[in-house]
Amino acid sequence: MKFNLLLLILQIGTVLVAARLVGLLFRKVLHQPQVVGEMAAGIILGPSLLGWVAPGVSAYLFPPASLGFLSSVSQVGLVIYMFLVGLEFDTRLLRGRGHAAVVTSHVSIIAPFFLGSLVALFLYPRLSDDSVSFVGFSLFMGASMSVTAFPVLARILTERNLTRTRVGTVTIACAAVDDITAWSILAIVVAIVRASSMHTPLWLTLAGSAAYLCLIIFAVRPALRWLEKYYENRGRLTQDMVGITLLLVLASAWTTEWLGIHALFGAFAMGAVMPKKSRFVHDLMEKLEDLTVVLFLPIFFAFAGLKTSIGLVAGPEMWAYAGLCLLVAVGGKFGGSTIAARITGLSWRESGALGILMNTRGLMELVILTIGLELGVISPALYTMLVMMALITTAMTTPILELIYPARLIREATIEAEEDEGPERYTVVVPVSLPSAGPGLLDAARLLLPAGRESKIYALHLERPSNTSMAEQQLDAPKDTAGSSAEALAPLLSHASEIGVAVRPISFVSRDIAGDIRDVARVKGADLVLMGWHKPILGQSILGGTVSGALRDVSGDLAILVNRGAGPWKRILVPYKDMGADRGAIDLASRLAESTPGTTVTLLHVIAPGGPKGELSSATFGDGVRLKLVESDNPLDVAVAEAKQGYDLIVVGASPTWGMTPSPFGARHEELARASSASLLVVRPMSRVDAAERRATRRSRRASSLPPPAARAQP
Amino acid sequence: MRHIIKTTVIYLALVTPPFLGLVGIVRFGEGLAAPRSIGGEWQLDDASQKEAAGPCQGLVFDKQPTLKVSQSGLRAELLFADKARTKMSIQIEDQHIIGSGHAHGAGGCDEPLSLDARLEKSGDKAEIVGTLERRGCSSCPVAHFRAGKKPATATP
Repeated sequence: MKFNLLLLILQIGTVLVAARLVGLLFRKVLHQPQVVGEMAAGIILGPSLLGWVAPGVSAYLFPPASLGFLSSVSQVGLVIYMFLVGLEFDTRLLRGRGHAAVVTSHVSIIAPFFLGSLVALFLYPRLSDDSVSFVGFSLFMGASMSVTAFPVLARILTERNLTRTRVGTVTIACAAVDDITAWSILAIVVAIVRASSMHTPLWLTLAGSAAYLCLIIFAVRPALRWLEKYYENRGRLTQDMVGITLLLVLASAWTTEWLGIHALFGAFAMGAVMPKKSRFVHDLMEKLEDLTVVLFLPIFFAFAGLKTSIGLVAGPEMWAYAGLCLLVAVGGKFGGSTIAARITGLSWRESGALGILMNTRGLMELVILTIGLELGVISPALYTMLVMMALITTAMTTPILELIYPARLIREATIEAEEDEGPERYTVVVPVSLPSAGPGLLDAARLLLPAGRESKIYALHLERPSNTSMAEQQLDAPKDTAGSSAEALAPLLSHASEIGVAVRPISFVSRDIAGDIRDVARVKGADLVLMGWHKPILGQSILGGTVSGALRDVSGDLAILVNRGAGPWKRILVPYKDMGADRGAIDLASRLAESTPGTTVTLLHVIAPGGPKGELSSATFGDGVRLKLVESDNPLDVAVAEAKQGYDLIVVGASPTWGMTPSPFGARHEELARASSASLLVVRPMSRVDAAERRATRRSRRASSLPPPAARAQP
Repeated sequence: MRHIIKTTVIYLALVTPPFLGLVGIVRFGEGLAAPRSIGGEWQLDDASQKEAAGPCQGLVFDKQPTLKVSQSGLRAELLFADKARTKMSIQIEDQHIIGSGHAHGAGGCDEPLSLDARLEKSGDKAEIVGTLERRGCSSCPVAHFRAGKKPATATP
């Protein structure tokens, strides 16, 4: 078929749309890694769904004769991606992880490899043909069963904040060993298969490969340190350096392809030997990753999906074979890893978590299967069965991991409570979303601390999973905040050191921001959660989105600051109607007045006409508080009119009286916020029941002689 | 030292048996026979091109008188190079190949297509020789065909 650029652009566009949409659906609705959705999108575009539901559209979009061009694009992308996977391989991950990691990783390879080869005895006469030798078939089955998807696994570990736990560190070490071992085994299998079909002596291929490996380890690797030094001298990655690196990747890929193992091994090997000590690799990943992951990988998934025809798995017999493949894959990898981890000293829960993580096959399995199909070692039906196995084992990881090692336990291990340190401290948790909002929130938090009490401030940044890239995962990063999380808290921490306030940073990846704010507040025993507000992409509501979730989930005192200008706040207005909803607003406004001399707080007490004079009196408060009593049936009108009198800050209770509730459908919703250009502090106090419970918990904790359960490590 | 010895013993106990088992599997498996390979492209010879296009003019090969076989063990899918991209499901029993499928024929001839053939191999040369017919259609002639295996080309 003649090259058709219009068709290729149409194909790539379709693939991109499908991958992003299905990936988003899997991420948001099914809580799966994006890559699982992208893999599924590939299958959806293939004969299994699009070709079945709309054969005309499928034939128009993906005519068989055009797939060669799509394949070429995907292969180039895959070469670069395998280089990125190699870049992630760092021998430092193995240091200090002990012999347990080596034992576990080798058992996690040999067990599924053995079972894969065993099942080959049954499948070879049924799903293969005599153009494939049993040795090649069984070794390939073994290799395909024993692979672990290092990139997907690393992403799941990061997303679930497991990287700092014992399970996380051992799993990463095992996966790194698995990765290099599985690819080496596959290189040998490919060499065996190709040697028989190309009539090239096997020893020649193996000897050539060994010589090549020696060359890149002992000659290319030291030479690459010059590249790293050049980077350090320049302080940035230049286009020339990217060009040289890509050239090296292509040369390596070409050599391994020529040697008779696959081009992908060369790309992976070049990534693995790249120097990892400076930010060179990080910057290189940043340059190459987005285009590769967003554009090229979905094309590869689509190409893999176009080769996957679920129609080939027809009848109960074929489905039984598919089930057997899945059973063997899970039994070998999950079972083998779990037992080995348990024997080497991990608890059953930790071993199970490690086993299910190692069972993640993801993209790496697709790469191996595509090589197998291309070589003719596996038949189209077996390819389809193994693709389904790859998809299922990857998709099952997150839910089963949640079952074995719930996020609650991981979170509590990461953000554990601290032992009581003498007198009880007033604790404020400050969630920070935008880096620029951090210093303002810290200033407000400082002013809200009660006088005469010891206090603690935690700055919390929660990163959504979609925002973590391979480059940002930094699995060997220091144990405090890492990557973009560190950047998000940097302005706040820098401001804290300028003004001499001790702030403890906490950051992790979160799927449920409001729920995690609640948990951090609970575990840290927060007296107040002070969060900022920034205009959302859609809508204007102050109490919508994450704030609405926090109002629902956080049981303690909660304040939302809408910071509209630089302090200091000298004139503060507090509308007051009843003690239930507005108590918290009065408390915080009083503290602001106490902490900043010269501040005037106007307490606007609205009472019903002819009713009792109200429960407040000027005598209750200090000098800085002025009580203004107004009789009116409409407190909101009074508050709105008063808000226009040039105040710096309005402190208001989150109550329907003032139109400050999360529901956007209430009459005059957030009108008070719109009426004035002053900053706004919306306060939702802890309920009296929660407050009583909290006091009781603290009393019993102090009375107990045992240390609190999670006083193990400081994040 | 004791810890290292313990780890080594655990390692050997866990890794050695499956490794030895693997060696046994490979040895044993070498004696297994897989179905004959018929996957790939087959070219109809000149004489049978017209005949294969015969069963009530159901199949037109255009300029590519080829049969494309995608094999998965004992089963395969045969794709004709006609405009309707007719497919047949194939079962392989040793050298015997039987298949069934459907293709609309001229003049309302819609009976199912069936294929009955055998694989003939001599040295490097392989051929499929057999018949293609519409079962149940008395007016449609049985088409005899012979197709030779085309040399494999690089797969994209």
